Amino acid sequence: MMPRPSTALKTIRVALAGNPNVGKSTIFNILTGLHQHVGNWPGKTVEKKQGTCRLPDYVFECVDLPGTYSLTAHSAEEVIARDYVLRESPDVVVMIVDASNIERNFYLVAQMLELTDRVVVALNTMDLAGVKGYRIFPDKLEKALGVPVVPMVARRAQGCQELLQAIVEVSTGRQTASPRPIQYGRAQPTLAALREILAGEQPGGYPTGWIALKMLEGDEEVERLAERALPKETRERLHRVLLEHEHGPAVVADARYAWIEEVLRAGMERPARSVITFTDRIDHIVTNRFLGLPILLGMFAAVFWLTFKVSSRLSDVLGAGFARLGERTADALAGGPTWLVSLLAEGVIPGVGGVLTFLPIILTFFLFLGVLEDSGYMARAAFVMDRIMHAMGLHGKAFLSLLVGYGCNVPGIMATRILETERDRLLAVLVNPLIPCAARIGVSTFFVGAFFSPALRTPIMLSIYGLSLAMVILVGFLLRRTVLPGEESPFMMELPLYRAPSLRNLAMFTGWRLRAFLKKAGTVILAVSVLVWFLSSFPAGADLPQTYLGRLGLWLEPAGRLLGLDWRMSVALVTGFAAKETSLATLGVLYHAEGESLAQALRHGLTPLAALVFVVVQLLYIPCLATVAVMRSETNSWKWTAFGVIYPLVLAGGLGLLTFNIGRMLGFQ
Amino acid sequence: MDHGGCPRMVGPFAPITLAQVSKSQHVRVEAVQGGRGLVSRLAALGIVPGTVVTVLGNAGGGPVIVEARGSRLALGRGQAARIIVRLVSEGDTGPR
Repeated sequence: MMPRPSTALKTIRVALAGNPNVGKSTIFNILTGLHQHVGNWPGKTVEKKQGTCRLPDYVFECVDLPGTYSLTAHSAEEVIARDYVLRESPDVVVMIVDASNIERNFYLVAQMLELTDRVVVALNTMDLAGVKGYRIFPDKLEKALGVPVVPMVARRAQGCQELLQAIVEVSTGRQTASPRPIQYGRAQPTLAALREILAGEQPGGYPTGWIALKMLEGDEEVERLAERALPKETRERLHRVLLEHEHGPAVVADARYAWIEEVLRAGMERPARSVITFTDRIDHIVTNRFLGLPILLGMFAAVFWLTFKVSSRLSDVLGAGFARLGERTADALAGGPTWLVSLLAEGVIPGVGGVLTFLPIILTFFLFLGVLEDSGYMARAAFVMDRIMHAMGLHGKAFLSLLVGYGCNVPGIMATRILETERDRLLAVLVNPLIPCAARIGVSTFFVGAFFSPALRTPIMLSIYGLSLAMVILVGFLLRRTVLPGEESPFMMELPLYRAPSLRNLAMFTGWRLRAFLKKAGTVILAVSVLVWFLSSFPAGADLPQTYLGRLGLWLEPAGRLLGLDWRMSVALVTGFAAKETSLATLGVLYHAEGESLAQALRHGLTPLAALVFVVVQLLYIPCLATVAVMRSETNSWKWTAFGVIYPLVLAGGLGLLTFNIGRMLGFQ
Repeated sequence: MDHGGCPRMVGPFAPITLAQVSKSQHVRVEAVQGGRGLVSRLAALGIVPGTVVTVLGNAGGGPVIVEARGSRLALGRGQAARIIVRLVSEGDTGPR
């Protein structure tokens, strides 16, 4: 088929908006597939996703706006969403609505219609509406709203073609959108008065009517704009009107809900009293004051246990595979230059291979985490942990970022974005590296397995988890009372309906982690493996202690000796800065002995006490390179990044000393 | 047992805070005490004066679980204590 000339293609600019957890990302991914670009909104740590979708005659340029509950400026997300619609004026705004939660979701629709008429409502999760006993009639709803309504079940990819069709209709003007106007009732005269005083002024380029509305709602961002753009006399007159109407926000909200009520009366039937759902029955147990915490702990213990159970076999297979690959490579290149054979067989393959054996652990962990997230349990975990998180002046949502940190601290730190205030985010970012990521847990498991009897292994691993969690709470508590004091921010969180996780979402979630990990293995870890190989092989022909790496180790030895660690362990800690997984690979090179596995070689060279001290230190000392980079980009401050690197080092040193000395007092060597 | 007073000690239709309401009771929101920020954030989650709210969980400490306008919310205890409510009888839950 001849490609159509590009001039025949019409480009339609589409913005997707909606509340959090309504399937917005699912719809965005279905529409744009692999043709998407993920970045940040300019100057903000808020993710910006863009992508394109093609039909024979149209190209859809989609922007995924941040999920918000409102368009009043409470956080950066709301300002980004409304500024995009006002300034970039997309051809169509698709409002994604959760049909099972339609009344509350329509609040954002009402606010969007205050900004633009060119709206299409995507009524997602139609299957769940039935669970609540709702009967929704999309065509009646469409008539009452005055903009197109498209029923969808995004998880089953139902309704996408119809959505695209509706977008085309609105953008070409074939279907004129004439939304039902919102009657502001009691607020109407006040709004008229404000508009009159504004006299056509458009602070920041926003429409006068919208500015008046947001002023009545007490929007801080708009107040700042007015401060800058309007003369003092006008501001004072506005202020006088606003003082008389301090209930403005409630009156405006009430008017919107009255509008929603009218629309829904025309377009749906609801049961007289709410149906007892599966969600009610589950929540009765998992949010119970006595059972909630034990269930949560049991759930996560099961996740960790399953992760290692499922992945250890896979890791062994991968490990053996890489060992064989190393031997084969050495054989195949037998006639070649010795440095090349050595670089590949002793540097690259064991280094990158050693790290890739962590892949199953990380993937299974994130798969289980994805199941908990997609089923709706995560919000309950935040609820249950809220009281405990209060000890460090954070609320339940902060727990979710810590949990992600058990997989990897990089997404863990990114997950602090759900916290509302800068101070809370900073605190959550700073404590996150204390949570041992899968790599550090993997290194710990290896040492504990090599040095301790099976009966001791589980208690030791449990104390490792306990120690890190205790450190998070202790450090959080201290930071909150010293350098980061502040009011507790409000905790308000939606508890979604439970549902079976969708394979599509899980695949997307873990696929993304897989790519991130492989990228790390192919770049940072490859580079470090080559570097470690180089430092441990040169000057050429020298014995290990005389190589560059050996000299570094000897230089570090006095510090290590305080903790009972020999120079090779210190070197492993240094290379672990690049990525925690590499410390095992480094030990592999440094303890390399013919015919012995790393575990055997370590047992010959180390005491159990030294192994335990090493485990404690590597658990808490400086965050890895990738974590430091993300700390810097999320805090936007070198000062706090430096703090986040130095305090764990001090903490790890202190606890290492403590472990070593207590161990010696107890008579261990 | 109930943190901050037991609802049975006050008259059945006297104003109390949402933090004092026990499980399965229906209340109507009278007012939200707090800045415009809290008022408008709660509004975005469906809670405005006049809304009928059902308490789904209140352990006497920690957050409160409520249902408002068909959605299920966890509210921090501090926030719940700023929402002034009145108990409503079973038959008087409209307008929904």
